[in-house]
Amino acid sequence: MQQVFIAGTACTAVREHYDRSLLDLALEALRGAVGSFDPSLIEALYVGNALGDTLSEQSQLGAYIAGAAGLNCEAVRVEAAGASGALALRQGYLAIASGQADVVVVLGVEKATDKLDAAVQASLALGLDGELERAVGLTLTGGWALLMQRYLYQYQLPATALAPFAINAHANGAGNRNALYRFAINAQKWANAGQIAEPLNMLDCSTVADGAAAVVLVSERYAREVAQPIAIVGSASSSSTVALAQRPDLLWLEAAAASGTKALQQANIDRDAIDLIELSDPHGIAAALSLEALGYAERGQASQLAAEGVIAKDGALPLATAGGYKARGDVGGATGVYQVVELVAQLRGQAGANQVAKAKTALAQCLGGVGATAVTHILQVAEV
Amino acid sequence: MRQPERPVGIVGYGAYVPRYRIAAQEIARVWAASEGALPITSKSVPGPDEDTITMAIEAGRNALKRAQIAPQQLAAVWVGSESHPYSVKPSGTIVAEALGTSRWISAADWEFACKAGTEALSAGMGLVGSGMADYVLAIGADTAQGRPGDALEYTAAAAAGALIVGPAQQALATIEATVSYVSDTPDFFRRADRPYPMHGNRFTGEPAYFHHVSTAAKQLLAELGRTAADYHYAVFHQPNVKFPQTVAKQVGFTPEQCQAGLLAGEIGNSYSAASMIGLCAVLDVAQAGDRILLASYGSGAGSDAYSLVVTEALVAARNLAPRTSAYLKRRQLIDYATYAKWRGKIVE
Amino acid sequence: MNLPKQWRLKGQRYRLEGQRHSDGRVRFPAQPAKLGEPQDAWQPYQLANTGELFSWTAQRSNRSEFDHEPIVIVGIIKLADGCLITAQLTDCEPSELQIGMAVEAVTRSWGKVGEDDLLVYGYKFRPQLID
Repeated sequence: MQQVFIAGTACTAVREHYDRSLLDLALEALRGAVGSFDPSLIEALYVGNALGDTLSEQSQLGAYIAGAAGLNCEAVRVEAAGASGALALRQGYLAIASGQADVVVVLGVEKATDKLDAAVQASLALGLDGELERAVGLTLTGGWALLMQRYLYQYQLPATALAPFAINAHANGAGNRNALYRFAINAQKWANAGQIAEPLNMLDCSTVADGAAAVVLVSERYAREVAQPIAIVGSASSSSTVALAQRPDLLWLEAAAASGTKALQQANIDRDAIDLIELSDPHGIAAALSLEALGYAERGQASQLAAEGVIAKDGALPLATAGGYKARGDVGGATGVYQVVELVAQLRGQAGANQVAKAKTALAQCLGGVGATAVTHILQVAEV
Repeated sequence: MRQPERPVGIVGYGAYVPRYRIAAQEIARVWAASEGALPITSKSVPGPDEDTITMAIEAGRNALKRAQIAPQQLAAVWVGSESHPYSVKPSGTIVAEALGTSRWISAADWEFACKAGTEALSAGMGLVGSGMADYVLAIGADTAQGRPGDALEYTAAAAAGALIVGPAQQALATIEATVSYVSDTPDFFRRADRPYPMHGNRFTGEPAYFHHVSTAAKQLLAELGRTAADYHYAVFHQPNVKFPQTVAKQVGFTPEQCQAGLLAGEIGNSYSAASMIGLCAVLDVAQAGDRILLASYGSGAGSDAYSLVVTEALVAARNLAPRTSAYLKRRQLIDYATYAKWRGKIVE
Repeated sequence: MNLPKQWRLKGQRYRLEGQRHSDGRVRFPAQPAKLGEPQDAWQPYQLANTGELFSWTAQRSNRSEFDHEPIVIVGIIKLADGCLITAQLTDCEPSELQIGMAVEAVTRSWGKVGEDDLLVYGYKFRPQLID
């Protein structure tokens, strides 16, 4: 098995890019990530995208984007709702690890704002169980709200217990010029926010927006030519039942736990060796359940990590240093690649205002739907 | 007077009334300044996810619970309504499928303005009384509509009543006899392409409702050799409160005999369901041996009258499903804007 | 308009048809045997139509098929036989809802499909009627 390294990375600002197409965004990210690297060396393109069929009315995104980029190579679109980009990264990882390729590009792209909100909701809801959940009117946000309501009941917590996740994300978003929301919020504002899907309020819900992010993955041979290569030392994904009611334990993200454990085992490190973390955190409850699934908190206790500042930029486990889903913006299927772009910047010491001191090892976990797909990657400063 | 060869009766009954009400005062606030005589206090309004089919299903389920028979034992599911959700496609097959009947049944929709449900009841007496079948489910259900501002709008309501006809030996109330009386009287009608019915104002009274109902009821009493005094309860079709009270007096009944089955003041005119849920409300309180007169009315026009006698089986069976009063109690008032939206009166 | 699909689903939607395992477990809806399970491990079973509210949300932002009402309430219900089911709650306001409260199944309209309005019906749950 070959070792896999991240060479170049890039992302567009997360915005309502009304004047730009999916292809525009994709090409900006690709151009930035490939940089001065010889494009003729690229052997495959893996595109992570969740909503393209319905919102951009375009399928076969692999060939569509590869063609526009002038790449005549293997081109694959990977779809697993919000985990699409992370799963595309894993496909790229596998291509190099297996020895089939030495240079591949992974792109996460989402163009969500061409259609109105109700259509975006409909498209996002396709990641739920169509017959059992979507047909009865459940939205993706509603799915997380069902988990939150039960969580608050089970552990006797007020909704405000989960507020620190959004407050932390916004504090970090303020320092990220690519973030959708570059301002801080406070507990008072959070508590006064209107309901979206009770008990999820407006300041506990991410906003879906447009963006693209890309990374170039290379084998060791090419990594030697790269300044500050970052190694992917763990890569694992898992799945659990899409329909919430069919899960054995509603408040346990089984796939998140399984993929996290497997990735840590592969990296041969303990979870405490992780210096900073990216999670699927469209809502505080998602971050809390993910932290519990990864073993950073006992069940029902994750909100304490947020309350005690453990997840802050200067805490023991900084979370969402680019603003998370909430402030950076929710880029749907592109998220998994955005997460890695941020972690690479941190590991290279290029994260600017939000730089975490002495970051050597980082973990990114990305979920599809309400956690039915989970993909975990562990990145490390490489010595080649 | 008609009597089946094989004695029959009501072996199960069930009512359904939606949760929502609009006060007549609220309609008057929007359409008429007059605080004058309003025909009712409030009327039931179907929720945005309800129609004749869903209401028929719940009433039917209640009737099956009281009958203590399996849905597969039904030989027919007949739904009488003037507000079938489809113009073409039977409500009956959907109701039957939801109840879980056998597929070897007759399932059909009946239409005769407000007496479509009792038409199905009389036909059920025929099917069971002839020995062709053991159990027939006859449902009257409506989500009636009135033109905004029209007098009908104060009363046009929603409910469903379900009666299962079966052998008299198993009956909660036996049906002694029935008459049907009809004539061509255009007091109220609606063509298929019109959203709201046309009604003849005072013409709907004397030559229409009063003539047909009183003629049918009096004829049945006369042929049975009885008078109103032989009955504990009487239920008449109830487009409002005054009509059934007036016709009761014409036939010789007292207000006390009519009180238990007179629901129009609280829920309005539920059309095909009106006389059937009136009967349900009476069966909720009647005792063994009590005699009940039921007379429906359908515009166009006609009346079916029935004489029933309560059996010993009723008292135990009535607790097997929610009583009519349970539906009347869960009363949520809505304003005219909500009502107009739900009932499709807001044109986009 | 997907007529065959709507037609195919009527058993589970109208009558809560699920399955019961020989060991007593109950699941919804009926589904093929999982890999490694004998084909006949699960038998047809009609679920209980009462249960308790396990979780709920009042959605204020809804898909276009559902946005004719300001709030869509969706719950997870734990049925009396132990099976969980996700369903809309009807005949209630968010302020009435509490986890653990008794609810019962009713059949209601799920909406219309296609420009000619195929009517779709299915289960919803409401607070248990008090007699």
